Amino acid sequence: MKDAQKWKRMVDGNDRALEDLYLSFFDKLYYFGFNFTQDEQIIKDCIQLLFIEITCYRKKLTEVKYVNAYIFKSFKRLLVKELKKNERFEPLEELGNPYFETTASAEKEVILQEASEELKKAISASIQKLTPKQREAIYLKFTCSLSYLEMSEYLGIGIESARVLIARSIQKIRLEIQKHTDLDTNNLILFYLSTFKGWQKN
Amino acid sequence: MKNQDLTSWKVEDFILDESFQRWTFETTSEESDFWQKFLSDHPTCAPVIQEAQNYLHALKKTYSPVSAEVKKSIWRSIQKQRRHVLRLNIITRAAAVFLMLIVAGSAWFYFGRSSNLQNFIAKEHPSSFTETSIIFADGHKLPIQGKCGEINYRNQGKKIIINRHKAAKQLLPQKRSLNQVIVPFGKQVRIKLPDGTRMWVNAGSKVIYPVPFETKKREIYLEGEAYFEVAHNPRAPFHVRTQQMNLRIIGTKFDVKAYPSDTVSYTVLMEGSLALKSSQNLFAPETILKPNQLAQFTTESRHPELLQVNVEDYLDWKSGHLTFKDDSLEEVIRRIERYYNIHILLDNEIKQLNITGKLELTETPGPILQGLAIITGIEYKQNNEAYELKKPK
Repeated sequence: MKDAQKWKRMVDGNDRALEDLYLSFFDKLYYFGFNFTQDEQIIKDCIQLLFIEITCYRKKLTEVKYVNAYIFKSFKRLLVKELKKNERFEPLEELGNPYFETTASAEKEVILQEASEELKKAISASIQKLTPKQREAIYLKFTCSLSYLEMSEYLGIGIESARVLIARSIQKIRLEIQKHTDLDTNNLILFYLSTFKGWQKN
Repeated sequence: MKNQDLTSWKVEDFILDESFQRWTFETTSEESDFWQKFLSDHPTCAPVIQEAQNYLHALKKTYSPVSAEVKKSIWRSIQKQRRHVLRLNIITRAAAVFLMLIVAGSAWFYFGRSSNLQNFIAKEHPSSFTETSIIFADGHKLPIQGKCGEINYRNQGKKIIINRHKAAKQLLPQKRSLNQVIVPFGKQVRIKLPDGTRMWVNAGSKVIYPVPFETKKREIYLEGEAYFEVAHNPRAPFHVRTQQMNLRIIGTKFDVKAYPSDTVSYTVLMEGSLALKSSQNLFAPETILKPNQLAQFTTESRHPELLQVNVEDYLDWKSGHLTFKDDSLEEVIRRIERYYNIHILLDNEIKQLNITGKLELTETPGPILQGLAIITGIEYKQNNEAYELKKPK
C-alpha cells in the first residue's frame, strides 16, 4: 500500500516521493539484476534508465495499478534490452526464462540468522533443480515480496496460475529436501520444537 | 482463510498463504493478532507453523544494502538527465519541432549516410577461420565446406541452400537480421542473395548484409574482394561500403577490392554505371565510373584516381585459373603480378615467348612460377618477396 501511495504522489509531481521510491527499490532491483548478469555496471545503468523513464513519463503512469510488478517488469525489459545489445544474453530454449540463475548472487547475500543454516542450504540446493521460470517466481515472491496479484501482472498470467506456479515450486523443493533429509527428519522436528518453545514465550 | 479449518493445514498451505507470509516477514502486519490468537488456541499446530516459517525465512534472500554513496551518485545522474528533459518541455511546441528538424536533419547528414552495418562488424577475422562460415545475428555459425562454396537464399532469406544440397532454415526474429559471411584464405564463396543479386567473394574476405534487404535500400558492407552482379531494381538502390569507399550502384557488374591490410583499394566496372566517393569525406562529390574504368583510393588520398583497364585481368580470381592463347610471357607475367599483387623481374630477352594454356591459381605465386619456368625452360628464382624469371645461361 505504501508504494502505491508514493507512486500516486510521484505521478502528481512530488519529487520526494520519487526519491523515496528510488531508495526503496534500489537494493531489490540491484540484487534482482544479478540473476541476469554479473556486470554490475549494466545493472546500475538500467536502474538509472528506469527512473529517468519513470520521471519523463510520470504523467502517463496514472494507469499503473501494481507498482511492484510495473517496476520489476520495466527493469527486466531494460536489462534484457541492454544485455542483448551487448550480446551477453545468450539465446537458449524457448520456454521460460533460461537466464535466471539464483546462484549468481550467492556471494553477495547475507544469510539470515533466523532460519536454520541447514534448511537454508538445502533449499538453495533444491532451488537449483527448479526450472528458470520457477526460480524467477520464487525469487519474486519471497525475496522481492510480490503478491500473487503482482506476480500475475509481471508474468502476464492469471492470478490462479501465479499461485499454482509457486505451489508447484514449493512442492518440488519440499520433495527434494525430504529425499535428502529423510534420516534427519526426526532430529529436525525436535530442533523445531525446541526453538519454537523459546520463541513462543516472547 | 478464516472460514477454513486451519488446523488441518499442512506446511505447504501455510507457506503459500499471503496473510501468513505477511505475518512472518512484516513486524507490523495487521493480521498479526489473528495468527497469534490462532497459535495460542491451537498449540498442536505450532510445529507445522514453525516449519512453514523456517521455510519462508530460508526462501527469502537478504542482502547487505548497497552503499548510500553509490545510490546518491546514481540519483544525481538521474536528476541531471531529467533536467534536460524538463528544459525541452518548457520550450514551445513550435520551437521543439524546429529543433527536432535541425537535429534530425544534421543527424541524417552525419550518420544517415554512413552505414549502420559498420556497427555490426564483429571481432571475427578471416584468418581465424579454416572454413567459410555464415554467422547469423544471434551469433550462430554455419560452416560451408569446400574450396568454392555456394550460398543460395530462398524464400526472402528464410531458407538457405548450402552447396546445392544442404538446406538451413533461418529464423528471422525481427523483419530482417544481419548475416555475415567470412571467407578464410585459400577459399572462395558464391552467394545468391534474396533479391537475386550474385556475389563472388574472394579469399580472406568478410561481407555483411541484412536478410532480406530493406525495401528502399540495399546495402552491403565488404572487407576484402568481391565481384557483384546486381539484380536490377530502380526502387531499391544498391550500395556497397568499404573502409575507404562508398559505392552507389546504378547497374550491374563490378569488382571491389578493399582489404583492410592493403593501402590501396579499388573498384573496377565491367558493365553498367556506378557512382563512388570516399567514405572518409562526406562532402566529397561523387565520381561516376564508366565500364572498363578502375577507381583507386589509397589510405592517404580522399579522391579516386581513374584508370582505363582490361577488366578481364581483374576477374581471374573468380574462375580459379588463368587462360592464355598465344599470349606473350610479358602478358602472362602481368596477369600473375595483378592476381597476387606482386612484382616480378623479367628478362627482356624472354618477354616475347608465346604461351597457350591454363594456369591453375595456387595460394602463393611460387608453384605457378615454378611450373611456368619448367614448361618454358627458363630459370626461376625467389628470394623472399623478390621474384625473378631469367633466360637460362
